[in-house]
Amino acid sequence: MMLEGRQHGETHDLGMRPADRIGTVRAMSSVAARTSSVDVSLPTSGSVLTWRRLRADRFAFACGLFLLFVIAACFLGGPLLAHLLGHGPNTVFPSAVNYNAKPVGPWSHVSSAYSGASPGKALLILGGDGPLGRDEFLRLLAGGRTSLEVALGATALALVIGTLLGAVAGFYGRGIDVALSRVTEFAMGFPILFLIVALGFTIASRLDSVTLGVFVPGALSLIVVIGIFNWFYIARIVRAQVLTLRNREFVEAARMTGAGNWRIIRTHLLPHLVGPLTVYGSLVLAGTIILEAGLSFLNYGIQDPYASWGNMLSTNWGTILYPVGSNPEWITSTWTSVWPAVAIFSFVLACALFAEGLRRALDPQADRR
Amino acid sequence: MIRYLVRRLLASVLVILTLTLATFLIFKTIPINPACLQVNCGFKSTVTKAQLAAIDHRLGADKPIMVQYKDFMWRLVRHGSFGTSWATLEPIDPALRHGIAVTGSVVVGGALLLLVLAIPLGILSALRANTWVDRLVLFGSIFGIALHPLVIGYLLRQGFGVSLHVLPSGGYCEMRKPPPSALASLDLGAGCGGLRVWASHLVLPWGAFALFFLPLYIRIIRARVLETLGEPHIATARAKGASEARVVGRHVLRLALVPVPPMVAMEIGTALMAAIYIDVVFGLPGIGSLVLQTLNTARTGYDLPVLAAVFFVVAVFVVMLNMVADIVQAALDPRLRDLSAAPA
Repeated sequence: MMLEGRQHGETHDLGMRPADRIGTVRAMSSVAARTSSVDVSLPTSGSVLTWRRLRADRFAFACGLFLLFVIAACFLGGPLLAHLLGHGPNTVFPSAVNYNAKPVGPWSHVSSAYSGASPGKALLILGGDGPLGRDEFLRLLAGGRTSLEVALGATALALVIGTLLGAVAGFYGRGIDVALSRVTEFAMGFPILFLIVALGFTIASRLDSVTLGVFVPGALSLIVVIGIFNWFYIARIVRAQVLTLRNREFVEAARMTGAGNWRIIRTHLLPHLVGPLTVYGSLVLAGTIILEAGLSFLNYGIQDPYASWGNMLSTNWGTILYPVGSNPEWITSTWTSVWPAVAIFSFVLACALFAEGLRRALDPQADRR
Repeated sequence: MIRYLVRRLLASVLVILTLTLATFLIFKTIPINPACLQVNCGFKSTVTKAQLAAIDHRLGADKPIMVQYKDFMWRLVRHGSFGTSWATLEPIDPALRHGIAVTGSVVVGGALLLLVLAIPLGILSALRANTWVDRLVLFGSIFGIALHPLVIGYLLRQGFGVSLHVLPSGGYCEMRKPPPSALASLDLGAGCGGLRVWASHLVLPWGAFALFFLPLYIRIIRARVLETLGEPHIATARAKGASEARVVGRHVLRLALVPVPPMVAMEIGTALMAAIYIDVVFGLPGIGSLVLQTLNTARTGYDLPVLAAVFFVVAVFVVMLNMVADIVQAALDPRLRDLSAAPA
């Protein structure tokens, strides 16, 4: 949706054109080299070309690397750092808070008395997280892990449901297509947040305690609920793609050799969808991060002892239960809201920019210009 | 066209009925007792099972869910009323009407502000494509895409409301002044009103709403204007000697803005979601607050009539807006009118 543009062949986005042009030139020179050489070699495959264009688009490539870095930092770096520091993200440090319940600042060594951590001095890299004096940096990583678990899980679920239903609707058409289109149209207009909050209660009571050994309590129910309500965009896109692909020659050829519907969808249509699905998957991922943060902020997502970027936002800014404006010392404790806000912002931004770059790299027209 | 509209209408009614039914069915599965909204069932509770059953009976919560659904719809059709809340035992209609008025003020005002900002910026950025102006606008819009609506709201609130004191930092005031009461001096905060006070309280919510959607709309308008500028009829207008202002004002704008009304309408779901966040940030008593408050009590019980009423109203809005968007679009672009006139 935020990917309008370039119908005109003359879009530029934030100065990424030079890099793109290098990619185009490279691709063109390789085409030229191929056609001028006498020996018969296989044409470069589409995925290789896409990869080359993406590599050449330094900005989008950097965004992709950043996403991988954040994911690695949250999933691997968090536990590792917790091990090195000797305390966890949920360890409470009474001595990291002054008499005003104001947490210590960045890079503070605090006594770990009454904290349950190993005795001695504990290092809080980004300071305390609020009145409880927990390690802000570790919570940021742990919260990132939770938020990413939810976002990645819900996006994966949405991709599976959306691809399946979209492909079926596009391929078989008729009644199922009409029904799906109506449902999609409506669901895209309805404020999903209401339904998620409402349905969250029915599911949460059953799934909250189910962690499968990896998830934080509450994460699985968020994954399921968000996933169930987030597949509409995907379904729409897949349906449109399948509709255009359905009558192409290679599908007819496959049918002539005796391939069944299911086989055609699986082996001939789905590979065409990988590109668009990656692009829109990144966008859905970004949207889900925002949604999870909103839900946890409103106290309907991940609950307090466990960190998530959303409920970390609310430690200072307040929720319905802890009304806004009740914290007069906004200026001094603002950092504990800034970090998660920056984390959400940078991750979502990187997702959006990466999706944009990937879409440009996947564009088959890019070669011909 | 008529046939198309009728079919569209029937499908919409079906969708609304299905959603309301789904609300009832979903909430039936929550293993919580509605009677607990009335009495304390938790710690140190002395309520007996028989008393709970009696309350349930009075609320009508003990009837089969389909009967409840039928009662709800019948009351709505027959009396135009949503009945009474299970939690407060007060009629739902006034609270709902007030919530709609608040959310409506936020969404409509915000959408207007959005259009006022997005259309000039989008056109500017398209006409000056690939210059520093365009780049600046796009760079700014990138920030809007990634900032959480809650964060946008809080930044505005803290900046203009709390730190600079230029605007009220929260709360809602009625558009019409309430009649002066003897207790007015004791009535701190409540009962403020008047058009100016109302607007001043809503400036920041409108700003937050508009900023949240601005990037998307700027980019869409920019792309559309760029696309339209390349069309043959623009070249014709230029060849006939029309001034640039006339070309843009009369020929480009009309075509370029066609997808905007349907987008505004289709985004109503996202808009209401943004309105929930805005309710929370600015402490407005809108639909979002209504639902969140209702669901906040859901740890003890759930207020099904209120939820069903809100869902019903929202669903009707969404469906109606979608239809209006289609009609407006057809009015703006004659080609679409022909398409929809043909038997679909």
